[in-house]
Amino acid sequence: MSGHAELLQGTLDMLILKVAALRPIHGYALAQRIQQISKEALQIRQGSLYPALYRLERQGQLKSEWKTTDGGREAKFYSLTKAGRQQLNAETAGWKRLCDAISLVLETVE
Amino acid sequence: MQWNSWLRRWRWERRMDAEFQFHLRSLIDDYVGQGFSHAEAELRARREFGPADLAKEECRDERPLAQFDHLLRDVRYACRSLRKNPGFAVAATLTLALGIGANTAIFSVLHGVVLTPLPYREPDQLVVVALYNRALRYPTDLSYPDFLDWQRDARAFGQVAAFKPQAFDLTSPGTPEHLDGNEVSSTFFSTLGVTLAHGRNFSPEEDRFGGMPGRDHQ
Repeated sequence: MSGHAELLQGTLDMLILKVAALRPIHGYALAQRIQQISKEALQIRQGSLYPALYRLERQGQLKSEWKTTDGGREAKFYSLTKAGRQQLNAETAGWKRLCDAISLVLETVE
Repeated sequence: MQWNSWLRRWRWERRMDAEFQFHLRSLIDDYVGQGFSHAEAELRARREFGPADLAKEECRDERPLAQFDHLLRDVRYACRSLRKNPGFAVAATLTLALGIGANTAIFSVLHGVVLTPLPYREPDQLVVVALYNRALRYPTDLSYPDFLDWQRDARAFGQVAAFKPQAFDLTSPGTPEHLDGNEVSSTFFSTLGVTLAHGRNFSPEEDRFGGMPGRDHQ
């Protein structure tokens, strides 16, 4: 057992928005943070991370800015726009409803 | 314009490369921090990072104006193909020209005949009633007494007027001129609901058989 979990389609956007909502963050740290918080269960690869970031930026949910990191390197920092915050709230609410509904079915039907 | 967009794209590509590079460097740094030698750290990081071409291609689709660039590329490709094959280009252009021309012609007629309402009051209430000889399959004229009967008895219409095409030759003053016109009953203009631009309307007495031309009362 690797302990890895499969990320459901469309949930990566929600996780990205959630983590970027705290403070401006670059892609690498974002992936690390998700991995860390999920206790290594979720591994976000560059192959899915960056297309998602670029898409969210084009959709106006994220905005970006190049800044110097603590290590002295130039990195692209992402932060939430107002639309991104609304989207995050909507998706979080939708996700909770979905989870409750699925749990209800799984626990009720015997 | 061309140069500008190329430059913008080049800058955008460089920034995307830099972002991917930063991710890889950070991975290497992490492995070094875990105590690996630099060479070993780089090897592990590259293996974990994997090839980035596919992700970059997906990112390119999200580039601002990417759709616009795709469109430009398509247009350029179309122009190139047409230039390479002039015969086809001419045939395509002619087909388009004829198609558009025919459609425009049909629409012009339809627009005038069907779509544009007649310039009268309540044009949708206007109808032409005519006689038709079925045996001869030919339209026939209506006699004056019949018209009077229609005018008196027709309940379906608010007003009835008669008209008959009639051409005139105007000889004076000046050069003689052929005029196309209509003989009409006195109710003609009020049935259409138009006001005269000039002159006076006909009086009912002028409808009578053998009636005298009315006088201008002004």
